[in-house]
This record gives sequence, structure tokens and C-alpha cells, in this order.
Amino acid sequence: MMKKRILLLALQLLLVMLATMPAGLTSTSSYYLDASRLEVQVSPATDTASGAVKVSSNSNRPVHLKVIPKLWHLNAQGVMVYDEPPKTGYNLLDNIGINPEEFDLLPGKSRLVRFIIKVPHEINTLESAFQLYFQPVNLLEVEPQKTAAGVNHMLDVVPVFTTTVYVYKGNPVPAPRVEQFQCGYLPDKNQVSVNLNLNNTGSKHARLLGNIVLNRKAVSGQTQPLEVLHLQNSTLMVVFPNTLRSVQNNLDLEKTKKLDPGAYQMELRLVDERNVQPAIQSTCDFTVPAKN
Amino acid sequence: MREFRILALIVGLGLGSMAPSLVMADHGENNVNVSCTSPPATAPVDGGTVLVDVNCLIDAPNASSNYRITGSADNLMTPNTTFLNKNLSVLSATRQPNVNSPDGSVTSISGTSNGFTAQLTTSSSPKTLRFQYQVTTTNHTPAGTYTSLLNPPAYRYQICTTPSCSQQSFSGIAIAPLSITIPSAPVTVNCASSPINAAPGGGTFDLDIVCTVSGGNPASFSPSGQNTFSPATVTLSNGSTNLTATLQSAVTSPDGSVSGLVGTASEGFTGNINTIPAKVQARYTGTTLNTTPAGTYTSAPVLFTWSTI
Repeated sequence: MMKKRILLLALQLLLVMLATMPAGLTSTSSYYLDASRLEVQVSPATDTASGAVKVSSNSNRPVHLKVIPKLWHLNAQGVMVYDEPPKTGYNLLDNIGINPEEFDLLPGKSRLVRFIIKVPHEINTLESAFQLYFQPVNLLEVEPQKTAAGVNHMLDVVPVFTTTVYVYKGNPVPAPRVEQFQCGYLPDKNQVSVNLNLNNTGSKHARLLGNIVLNRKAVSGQTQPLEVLHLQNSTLMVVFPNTLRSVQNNLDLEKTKKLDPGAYQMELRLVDERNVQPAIQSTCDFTVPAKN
Repeated sequence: MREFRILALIVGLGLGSMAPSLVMADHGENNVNVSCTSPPATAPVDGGTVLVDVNCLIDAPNASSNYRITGSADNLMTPNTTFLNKNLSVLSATRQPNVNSPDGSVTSISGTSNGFTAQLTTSSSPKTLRFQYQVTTTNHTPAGTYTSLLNPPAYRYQICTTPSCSQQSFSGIAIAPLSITIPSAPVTVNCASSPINAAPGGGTFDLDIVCTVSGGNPASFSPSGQNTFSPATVTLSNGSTNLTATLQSAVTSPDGSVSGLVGTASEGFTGNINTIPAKVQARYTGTTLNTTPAGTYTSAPVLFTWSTI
């Protein structure tokens, strides 16, 4: 009898707790794509390129999706910025067909979204990038319960997936180069500072991962490797044609406690993610004065 | 008992244009066929090291036991390494020193794939020798099937039937293209923002959003990720009164599953995913006054955009 009372009390307590808890508001992706990045090649016979993205539901509710093509570029800091359509010259957004542009994705089902791009015949070599932006209309999994008193705030958060598409015509090639490579030492933080400017005189974007070997220079001119440092926390540095990419990093020295006074050299090595070109190398010298 | 001494000189070559082949040498009654194949391998979704087998079958039906094999392996064009390609992505495969016989038909193997001796103790045919290549992938390696069709490991061999190799020998080249698949799996993203109660009498409030990325294939975790929270400012309304909350620039990873976060929440950020599921967090901050009416304030949906460039 006593056990039953305790059990009943515990059940009541649980119900009270559930009733007074703020309702969690959770949104899941509810759909997913089979490709986050695509490359399509324009056929010289038709001057068109086509591709497809498979969209699948992982929800038990229908999702309404709009497929929006967006132009973008990277600014000097490597951040994606969406563009307005160009007023002159070739406008990819005027030359793209998407089917379907808008649709209901039923629970557990998949849908193939096809796209086709037309490139003018007179353009022989081209790299053009755009994004297919799959915008859901409503993905809330749990409706909020308005039970709490006072001023309450709620945010709905909707994940949005995109596919980045690169359109190629002809055989564009990247030609990245180091415009500027400056370095120094920050003794207070035991960091080395790197100031790197990259340019790309080619016709295709470069995808670079950067390492730096920090060397101690002996009087004889020989160098002794101290540490390997990773630029941009090993994230990719994408450099589009005729654009400047600036990288400013203060890199922690993890293996070297503090640099002694003397001469040092940084060996920069930029490797293309796709191995389509040899690594770019550059060096930078700096001195740690005796007062440090 | 007839004794054959077989000298197998196996030389790995980069023979780009050669098709995978079965190499056969016919010298009278002592036919010897040698062929190499490599079963397709599968790498872990989130990267890792995989050993890809190359099985070379020595089919010598007329041979008796007590074969002795001496041989060597050497990659002439790309020593110790071959390359597997998929579109513009490349993986390197490093030849391992070990040589073994999975079915035990070749024994007394000593040496490495650069130079070994062995003995065949059974008369069953074919006899199997196994080499291995090691392929390492990371969670940045794009998904798909990589093959070494453009530059396959190729093995040149010579087999002698007499100890002095003076009477009969077999030689040829066997090619075994490697293949490795990195499976594709969908990324799912789960975002949550728990409702909060503002402090009585007014003040600032913080609405934290935590987005959790799980599943996924390596391509999805490319270091070229560009993700954003938007909009920069949201309007929260109870139907009659509006409040605004502003997106803070900082993006954090509450459990450290994402490191090296660079950028801002509104303009775009990248980071290295260390473990799956990976969590990132952004914050909207707003202010209430002591005159703000009580009630529940909601906004139009906030977006978390997952992009890879």
C-alpha cells in the first residue's frame, strides 16, 4: 500500500514537472541533399550544361521547398557574399532553368531537381559559380506551448541546405600566386603573425590549404625546423580569378615555448586541394631582437 | 619428383594506358598463368586508414610441390605509391612491405614486397600471393569511388622452372587497378532554441540557438564550409507589441566539437568538425522594459544555412 502511494506521488510529481517545463522548440533538417557541391561541364555541341540534385525527406511531415538560384562571390576575407544579378554581360540567372522550382516533399520521399544552364556560344572559357538554395517554408517539428507567465521569447530555427554549382566551359585553369607574404613575432602571446595576400591570374578558382614551416636560421645560413603551422586553422582558402584574398593569422606556437633572439624563416607551402597544380612556395624572414 | 624453381620478379610499374590484364605465358606443358586483382575497398565515412589488397594468383597446374619462389617488387615510375582519382580529387596509396599468402599455398615467405623469397608446398593451383596498399582518407575527402585506372600498380614477373633458370622461364606483367569507395551519407541538421523567460522589470535577454550537424559524408565536411545564421535582426511579437533581438557576431561550439571557428554568425563562418555530431551556437540578444507587456513573443523563423563552396 505504501509503495503504491509513493509510486502515485512520483507519477504526479512527474506530471507536474512536465506541465510546468518550458516547451522545447526543436527544428530538424527534415530534408537532405545528395550533393553539397557539383561541377558541370558545358557541352560544346549544345552550349548547355545540366545537372540534378536529389532531395530526400527524413521527416514524417510534408515539406514545401522553393529552389532559388543565387549568385555569390567571396570577399577579400573569404566570406561568401550573395550578389545582385549583373546588369551587363552574361547573367547566369537569366540562362538557367530549374525543374521543379517549387514542390511539396512528402514524408520519406525523394525528388530529383534538375537544372540546365545555357552559355553563349561566343564564350569559349568560363567558370561560373552559383548556389541552389533550398528554402523550406515550414519545418517546425514541435509547436510551442504558451504556458509560462511573464515575458517569454521563442525563436523558430530552420536549417537550410544549399548546393554550390560550378559551371565550366572549355578548360579554365587556376593560376594563384603570392602577392605579399609578411611575418613577425608577438612575444607577449608567443604567436607568429602572418600577413598573406593571394591573387589568381587564371580563369578558374584555386582551392588552397596552407602550411608554414617555422625555421631557426643559424649563422651558417642553415635552417633548423621548429614547428609546422596551419594557416586558417586548416580551412580552405578559395581564390577566384582576378580577386584578392587576404589572410591575416596570428598562429600559436605550441611546440616552441618562446623564440630566442635570432633570425627565423617561415616557409610557406600552399597546396591545391585537388592536386591540379604544384604547390606554391614562398619564404619570409623575421628577427627576434635580443630584448625579447 | 619433379622440382621447379620459380623466380618471380615482380615489378610494379605505372602503366597508365594498359588495360587490366591476365598475363599468360605458355611454354609447352608447364603453363603458368599469373593474374592480379584488387577487390574494391570501402573507407570509413569520416576518414581513416584502409588497406587495399592486391591478390596475385599463380596458376601452374602442372607444377608439383616444393616450388621455390624468389622475387621482388618495385614501382619504377612512382616508387611505393600509386594514385587513385575521382574527378578532381586524388588519393595516394602506399605499397606496404608485407607479402603473404591468405590460403597458405605459398609458405616460407621472407623479405618484403621489394624483395622476397617463398616456397609453394602444395600442388593445388592456383597459388595466392597478397600485397597491400595503404590509403588514408580524412573527413575532408570527398565521397565517391576512387580508382587507379590512370596509373595502376602493375607487376612484372619472371618465373623459372629450374634452379638455374636456364631452361624455362615465364615472364609478363599483371595489372591490378585499385578501387576504394568513400560512402555517401546525408547530413542532417537539428536546430533548437529553448524558450526563455525575461527577467522581471526589464533588462537584456539572450536567445541561444544550437545547431547540431550529424550523419553526413566527408564531402559535406569539406574545409570549404560556409554557414550563416540569418536574419541579423529578428522581430519578436506577442501580437500587439514588438521586440527586437540582434544576432551577435560570435559563433561558438558549446562542446568543442567544432574548432577553429572563423568568421561571424551573420556574414558566414567556417570551422573544423572534430567529432560528429558537431554543435555550433549563435545568440540573439534583445532588451525588455519594465513596461513591456507580459506574454509570449515569437518571431518569423530564423535560418541556419549550410553551404559548401
